[in-house]
Order: sequence, then structure tokens, then C-alpha cells
Amino acid sequence: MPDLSDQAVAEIARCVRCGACQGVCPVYDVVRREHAAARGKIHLFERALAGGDEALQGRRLRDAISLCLKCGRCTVACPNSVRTADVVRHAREIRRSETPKNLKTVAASEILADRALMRGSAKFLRLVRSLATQKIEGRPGIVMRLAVPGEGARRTLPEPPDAGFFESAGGADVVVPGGGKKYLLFTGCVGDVLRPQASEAVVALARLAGVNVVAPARQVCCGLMSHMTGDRGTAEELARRNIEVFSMYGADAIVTPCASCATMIESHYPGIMPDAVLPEVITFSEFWSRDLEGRIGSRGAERSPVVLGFHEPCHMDEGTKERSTVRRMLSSLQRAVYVRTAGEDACCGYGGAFNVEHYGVSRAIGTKKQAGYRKAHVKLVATECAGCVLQLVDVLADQDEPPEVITTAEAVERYG
Amino acid sequence: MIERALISEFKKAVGAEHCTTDPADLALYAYDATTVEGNPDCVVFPATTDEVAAALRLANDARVPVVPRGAGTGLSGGAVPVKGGIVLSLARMNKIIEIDRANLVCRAEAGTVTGVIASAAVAQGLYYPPDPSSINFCTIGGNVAHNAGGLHALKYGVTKNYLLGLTAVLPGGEVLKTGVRTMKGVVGYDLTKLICGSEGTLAVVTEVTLKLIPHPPHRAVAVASYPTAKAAGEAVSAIIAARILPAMLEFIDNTSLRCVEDYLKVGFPIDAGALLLVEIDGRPESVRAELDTAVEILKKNGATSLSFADDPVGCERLWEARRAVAPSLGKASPRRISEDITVPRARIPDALERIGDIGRKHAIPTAVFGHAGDGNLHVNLLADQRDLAIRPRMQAAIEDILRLALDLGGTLSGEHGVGLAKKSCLGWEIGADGMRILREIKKTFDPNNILNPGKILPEIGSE
Repeated sequence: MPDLSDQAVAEIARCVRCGACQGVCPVYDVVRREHAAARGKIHLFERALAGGDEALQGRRLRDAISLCLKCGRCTVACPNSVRTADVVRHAREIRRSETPKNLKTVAASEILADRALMRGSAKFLRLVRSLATQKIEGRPGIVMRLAVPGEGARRTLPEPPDAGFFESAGGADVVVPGGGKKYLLFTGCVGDVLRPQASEAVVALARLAGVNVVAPARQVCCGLMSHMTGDRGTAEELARRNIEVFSMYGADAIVTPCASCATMIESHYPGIMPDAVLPEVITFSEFWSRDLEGRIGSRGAERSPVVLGFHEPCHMDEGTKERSTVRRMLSSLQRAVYVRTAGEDACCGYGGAFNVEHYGVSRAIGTKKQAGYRKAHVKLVATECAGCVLQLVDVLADQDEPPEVITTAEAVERYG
Repeated sequence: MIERALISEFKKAVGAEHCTTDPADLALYAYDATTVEGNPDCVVFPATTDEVAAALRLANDARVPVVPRGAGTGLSGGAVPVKGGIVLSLARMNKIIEIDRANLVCRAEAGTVTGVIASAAVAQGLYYPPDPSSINFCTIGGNVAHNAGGLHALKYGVTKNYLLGLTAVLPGGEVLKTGVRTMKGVVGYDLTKLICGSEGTLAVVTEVTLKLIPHPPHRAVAVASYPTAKAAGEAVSAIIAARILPAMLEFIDNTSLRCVEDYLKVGFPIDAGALLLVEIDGRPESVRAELDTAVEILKKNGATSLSFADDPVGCERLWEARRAVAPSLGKASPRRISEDITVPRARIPDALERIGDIGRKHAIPTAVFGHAGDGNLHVNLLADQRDLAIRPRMQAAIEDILRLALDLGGTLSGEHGVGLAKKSCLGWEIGADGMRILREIKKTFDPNNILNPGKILPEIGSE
């Protein structure tokens, strides 16, 4: 077993075992075991990874390493700001090089890493759609006819579009001419293949406001999934290719409808590629406040506006600015009424590979989101992260009159 | 070690997936929020009172130690299985059973996080006042076991003052219902309050019945800084003597406030010798009047600066800062020792002065903060207790501090409990007759000494 890095050892040493992390950890709330929250993970890493005690290297250590959404709540609650998510990622890198891989997460990481493969998979899903899935009247999304082995419940997926974002553009860059700053649109995998409406909404709004936006067709997956599963090689390769694309276009800023892609590029690329020069990265709501607010006109208020709820992605900037901007944006909608619901800032439980590996736990965390929206009679839930969209479609589906789930960009485009 | 046959019995009792002997799990239930560790042989996670009873019956028959555990956030080693055996985690028993608005009563399972109960009460316009600093992650069962206090104990009292009744399981597996759900009740010895504070040595609490009170409609906090700890201590005594009963009256010395400021950036004046946080609650008009009087006294006693918060967010921020003091001291000194002596409130200035002397005498840096309004001072010795060169000096300093508490007419522990940490000096305060009765009570409840053995009561002959 290789030693933990000095940085991980330093993080571990700062834990005073007070247990504050347990009070905020969405995984602990469901699993209710020490290894689910940061304190237990830290303790186990300290004893198992660094100490070399073989008896401690079993299933529980694997669970401790994989049962983390990397939402960062423990670090915020921790008096010593121990960055457990970083230690977990480091442990995953160590583990990945030595243990048999979890086939499902490897497959997910590799499909995402290869956009052609991802597009192919979407096409395949479209072809087998009526065989593998069914549409249930009055419910958004499509339900799988069978549960994935080991997952128990049948997943609900977003309704696949007829064509992906770049596919519709014939595989070419999508360009909106305009004055002022030049933005690159980073669609993310979901914003290209599964939920192109998100990227289309950004483009349509930019066109209305006359803002210069270019979506380069050669962009690839941000690499967050690979990075978080400890697949450093793939993450590096994806970062390198994206940075190459960014530098070719020389934009002022990158805008993306997905907070997770933004976090990967902004917070993790510099660690992976220390020498790269990156433009600023912003998510859609910040883009709105800088260049769309007051410039996209309004179609006037609706007589009976739709009730809209919000889900706050964990990957939105930790600073409160972004979190208040998105709420201001939703409050400004003319044809929808944004209602603040209890638990709108609770984690949805997705976590990328986490959802693949621990579907039951992931779903149990996500299902708790139902109550707040139900109580406020929300018809529509908007969020600013592709992963959250996938999760909310699934976990909100099994209730009476489930709300539709859309991205914030679509909310502004439809209800602005 | 426990026999395999017994393990399979436990698995039958609680379900195989809720009983573990995985070495990693044993390491994960070897600790609490202190630095003491001891591996159990097995951890069980019952979901009902009946499952707790079944597990206890098995353990009792086999004479295996059982250590009940809430969230493992205790500060006296109460949840550490120093003698091995079974850790019995109540983490799965975390439901609020009812909030009875007509009778102002709440029933909850023992593993419910205290802050969850407090929030559920607030949502109904009600108040559960006991608020240990770990309120957002400790459990009500652990609070009952240690009779936890908190920031608002001064005006509102501690856990036992809100505890009406219990469901608890005796070591033999008998389910005992104690107490009442009425506001009065004097039938027999008060078993509820005997079990409260017994640190899991008499019975395993599985369900609690709590008293709630109407939520005070308004509160305001004043923060006053003083050039010296003693001056702040005198201001505390003056406020109490002036017959004002703040909801909270907290003391933070210079070392502590520097640590918390470093962590939270609340804007505390880091050059102050000490800070006082004074909270008044009640109807808005009475809050204003009482706060004015309190501020007069704070000024008269030499406050060098004053600031205020009277909105819920501002008040919560100050509480958060106060609750963060202990963990942020942990950052400065991870292997520190924290004491929680309590002295009569008029003696606080003396206590502060003499704690400083004790620190200097043993050359150990100290930090003092705490619930000055109720006399409870958290004295921290900021040194590495694992360092064998320093450890004897720390021990000597602790002894001096504990003797000081008793000298001043106080007590060894205000709210952390005895656990492992203070059992060797229990007799100093309780005396020989007291110790004899404690032992007899223990024997009556737990004749085979399986429940949390090694806690509270020193081994015979070691006193």
C-alpha cells in the first residue's frame, strides 16, 4: 500500500473528532454509520492507509472511500476545515491503481470521456427506447422496463432528444455574433447529448441580447467523473484537450449551464495542468446577471404563472454571491413564480459515480427532496447542474404529479 | 473476545447487516470526541427498543460489556469501549415520535439529533432550550446519559429540567418506563433523573419524553470586551447580583477568542483580554429594558467596547461563534485537555485569577471560556497530552484545577460528565458514603457490571 501524500496526511492530522461533519453529511443521514461521514473516513484512512494494517483493508475501507458525494458540507461545518473530499479523491487514486475496478463506474467514466461513444449511446438509447423504457402518462421522463441488476428500483431517465446539440448543428461550432465580450459555451456532456435544450436556451437568449457566444464543437467532457473516481490519466487527457480548444478561441470567459463542469474547469484544471492559462468560468446565472438581465425583453406576465422551485447544486460557488444571483434571476421571471421551498439547498445525492455505485443510498438521499416541492405545489424544478437534473428526474418521479425538471437557462428562456 | 456463537445470536436479534465484527468497523467505534481509544469486539445497531432488549439480554447472559453510543461526541470518554465488548449504537433510532402541541410535550427516540428536536419544536412555536455546543450533531440519548447543559442553562436549565420520562432497557433486557408526561409527578423515587446523567452505566435509554416551552418571541445579544479576564469575571458577578437573568451569559478569554476569530472571522476584538456575550430574551419591550440595565452594568464594570445583535441571523451568528470555541481550540492544540469545572457565580473572578496562577505554576498555557453566567468554566490546557514529558505537569495542573473548584464551593464537572476522565477524583466531591450509595445503585441496576464498565465508578481499591 503506498503512503498517503503529505497533503492528505496534513488534512487528516487536523481532525479533532468532534463529529460536526455527521450533522451535515447527506450520506451519513441515510447510512448512519461512522464510515459514511468525514470523521470516520479520516480515522480509517489514518489507521488503514497510513498504518498498513491489512485487517483494515476490506470492504469497509472501500465503502468509506466510495461513499462520498464530495458535496463539501463537512469542510464547511468543520472547525478546522478538513478537506475530506480531497483526501477521499486521493484515496481513490491509490485504490484505483491496485484493486479490481468497479466496472460500472469505469464504463461511465469511459463513455463520458469519449463524446462519440456518448453520442452513440444516446442514439442506441433512442433506437431501443420502446424496448427498454416506457413512457408513463402524466410523468416527465421515461421509465426503464427493468431495474439495473443490483439497483432494486427502476430508473427514470430524461426523455432523450431527437438530436444532440452539436448533432443538430451538423457537427459544426455554434456561433452567435454580438458585441462586447466573447463567451465560449461549454455545454457539458448532458448539455450536448441528453439535455441539449439547456445549451439551446443559452444560445437563444444570447441571440436575443446580442451577446457574442461560440460553442466549439471540439470540446470534450470536463472530466469531473474521471477525476472524482480517481482516474487521473483520463482526467488529465480531457483537461488537456479542452484547454487546447479554449486557447484556440481566445475567449474572455467560459459560460456553462452546469455548475459541476464549471467547478471541474475552474477548481481542478489548475491542479491537473498547472501551467495552463484559463479564462474565467461562470455558470448560467452569473452570465445572466452580467449580460442578459434587462436585455432579453419580456413576453409579459402570465395570468396564472407556473409555480417554480429551485434546487441548489452543491457545486455552485461556495461564496454566497452566485447562490443569491440565481435566486434573484428566478425571482425576476415574469411567467413563473419562484417559491423558496424547504430543503431546496439540500444535496440531491447524485454525485456522478456515487449514483452508479450506491444507487440505493443515492436515491434515498434524493427522495427527501420530494417533500419540500410537494408542500409548495411546485410544478417545475429548475437547477444549474446537469448531474442534479438527471438525479431529480429520477427521484422526483415516483410521487403524485411529479414536477418537471429543467435547467435554469431553460427556465429563463421559457418563462423570462 | 466474544464467541462466534454469541455474534450469530446478536445477528439474529438485530439482523445480520446491523451487527458487525469487521476490524475496520471496530476501529470506527473505538473513539468519541476525546483522545481515548479502545476497540470493541462487536458493534450492533438495533432499530427498536425490543431489539435493544434482546441484545442486552444476550450480553448479560454471556457477561459481555455493553457500551451504549449516541453520536460519539462526548467529552469524557463515556462512549469509548475501554473494556471491549459490544458497542450498542442508537444511530438508527432517530425518529421524533410526536410533538404534542396541546400538552407541550415531545417524544423522540434516543438516537435523534438534539438540534432536529429543537428545530421541530421551533416550527411549532415551541422551544427545547438545552443546547450543548454539539447540538447539531449530538443525540438526545447522549444528552440524557450525560445530563447535558448548554449555552442557555443559566436561565432555562439543563437536560434533566426538560426530561419528563424515559423508556430505558435494563441490563437483563427488562423494558423500564419511568416518569410521567405530566408537568408534575412524585410517585416513588425519581428513576428518570437517576438514569439521567448515569452515562450508560445503569440502563440504555431508548426513548425520551421531553417538556417543551413557548418560544420566546424576541432576543438580543450584547457583546462586551474587557481589558482583563478578571474584569470580565467581575462584570458577570455584578449582573447576577443585580437580579438580571440573561438567557445566556458567556465568557471567552483572549486565547479562545483569537482561535475562534481565526476560524469564523466574526469580527471579535482580538486584543481584548476577555469577551462577554449577554443574551436577553422575552417580549420585545422587556428585552429592551433588561438589556439597557445589563449594558449599564457592563459599562460600569469597565467594558472597553460594546456591540449588539437583535435579529435572529445576527444572534445565531454569535451563538455559532461561541459554539465554535472548543473545536477551534482543538485546531491550535489538537491534544489539549478540556476541563469543565463549575463554581458559584460570585467566585468567578477568583477562579479566573487562580486558574491563571495554576497555568503559570505548571508552565502549561491555558485558555478559559464557558457559561460564566451559570459558573461553568471550560478550562483548557493547551499542550499535547500524549507527550510523556509534559503529561505529568498537565496531570498536576488538572488536579490543582479540580481542587480549586471544590475549594471555591463548586463541582468537578458541570456538564461533560465523569466517564473515564474524572473517575479517579469522584470521591473528593462525593465522599465515602456517597461513593458507597453510588456503588449500591449500580449493583441494583446492573448486578453483573456489564453496562459501560469502567466509567464513573473507579475500580475498588483505586480511589
